[in-house]
Amino acid sequence: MGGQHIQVVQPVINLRDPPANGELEITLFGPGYGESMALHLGNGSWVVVDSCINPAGEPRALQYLIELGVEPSRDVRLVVATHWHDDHIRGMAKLVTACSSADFCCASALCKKEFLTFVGTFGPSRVPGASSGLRELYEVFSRLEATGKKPRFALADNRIFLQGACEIWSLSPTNATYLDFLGQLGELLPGQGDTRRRIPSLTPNRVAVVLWVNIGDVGLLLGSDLEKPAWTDILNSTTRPTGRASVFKIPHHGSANGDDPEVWRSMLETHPWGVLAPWRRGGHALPRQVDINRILSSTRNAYSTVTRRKLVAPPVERESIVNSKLLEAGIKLRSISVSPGAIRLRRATVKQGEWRVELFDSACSLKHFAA
Amino acid sequence: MHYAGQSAAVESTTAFEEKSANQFDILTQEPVRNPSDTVSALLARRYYVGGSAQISSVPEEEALPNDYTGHTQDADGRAPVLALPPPPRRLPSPTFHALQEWEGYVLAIRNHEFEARLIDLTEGGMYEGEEATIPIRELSDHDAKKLQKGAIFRWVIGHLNTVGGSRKRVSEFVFRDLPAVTKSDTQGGEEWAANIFKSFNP
Repeated sequence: MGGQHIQVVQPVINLRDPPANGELEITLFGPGYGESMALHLGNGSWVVVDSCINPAGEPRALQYLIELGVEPSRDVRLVVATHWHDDHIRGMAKLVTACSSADFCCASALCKKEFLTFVGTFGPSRVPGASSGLRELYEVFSRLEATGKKPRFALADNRIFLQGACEIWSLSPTNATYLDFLGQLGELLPGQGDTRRRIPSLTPNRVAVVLWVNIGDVGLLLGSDLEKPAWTDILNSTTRPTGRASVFKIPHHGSANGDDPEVWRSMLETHPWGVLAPWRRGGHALPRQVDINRILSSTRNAYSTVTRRKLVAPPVERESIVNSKLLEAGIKLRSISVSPGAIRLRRATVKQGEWRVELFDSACSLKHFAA
Repeated sequence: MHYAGQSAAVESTTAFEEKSANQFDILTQEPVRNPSDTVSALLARRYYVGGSAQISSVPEEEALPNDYTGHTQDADGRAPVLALPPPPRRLPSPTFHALQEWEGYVLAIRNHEFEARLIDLTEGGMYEGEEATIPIRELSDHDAKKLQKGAIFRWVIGHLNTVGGSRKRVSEFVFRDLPAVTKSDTQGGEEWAANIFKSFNP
């Protein structure tokens, strides 16, 4: 049980140290632009969940794997896109291309004709800002088609990966949610006579793919951005894998609408290792102090990939005439090009040892998030 | 980016194309082929041609002589010689020097301001790198009517060199009305989707 052991934070650590062959690892990157995870299942096998980019526009997880000496085209077995929001899918096309032998998995709803037509219509937009995450999906699906590969479809209680003692299950979305989603697609489509605008996201997010990872007796629950109504479906399922997870990727950046207390009670060990990547957009940011307090009341082992202060990047340097004009017009600019931090959890083997946490860049204990 | 002797519209467009090499017009989403189609050209027209009281209309050509026929003959009366009209006389015109261009989309609108995410086109950015809080008074009345969540715009800051030699800082937003979906978008999307679907479900 995660909470019954002494937490070890190593004082001197190197992000480029690869895990030992039998060592398990889960590393969360974010926010940069979005969040992403790399999982070492042992014996040199890796899984990447979602994609975020660093300020140079490169997929952070891919950069990390290369720095470890991993060969992505050989060693990454599975790439999962939990949903198509651009903070979870930026750089996914590059990632899928680099991880050429990996299977690609996404919600089955994304491969239905209705959604594919949506992607095909709006994805090729040459205006990156206008296409949301559809452009990445367009490129990923085009790549799969060109290489003759089929995605693995994630649906509730579906095993999407099996290798030795490691199983990965998708716990969402349910069939009903998935049908609702296809029905709601019409809301995203511009109407007759509308002008071109950015494609909005559907809220609440009920179609994100939540993953359950079993490596021997070790359980991980990766909550993606799934929001509350859909967590009830997972909790009520009688066909999902049983057990309690020792590591929890806290859903939806720690927001209240992604947090169902019953998940903590029935799917997680006491004081599990909780990790989250903060989020900021248009003057709003997550987690809020009330979220931090709530999470810390459920686990004392909670970590964030960056501090609140680091969510604000240094301003971009520009010619003085531009700055003068901005000042004169009363326009406030904020850089959002944040360098992603990383939380790495490793344990020696499945049967022995405990998780140890390593924090990189501005990653911190959630207790110190606002410091 | 500064080309003496060019009209403001052409100059501004050229500057845009230099910075946006291998890019596409944000609003038409087509490769930039016709300079008059670009947003920068629209800006230039708004500033320099679009009825601005500051700048009077400039004659493109001098009037031709009344007896001009377009044809004449050499001294021996043999080969006809085409007599071209004199080249147009270029008059001084204002120039616009763009220093910074962004593409943006609206995140949220409040009473007197709106929030937007921006892609820095000057730096050749592909992803949003900044957010801005922008007073709505910065928009023209025409553009303010188009302000809505998700609306896409182009924003240029630069300086305008007037004919009189003065320099003025300019910040200009352009929201344009373009159809959200064209028939070609839909057809292309359906064809692509059919191929992908077939590939995923053989």
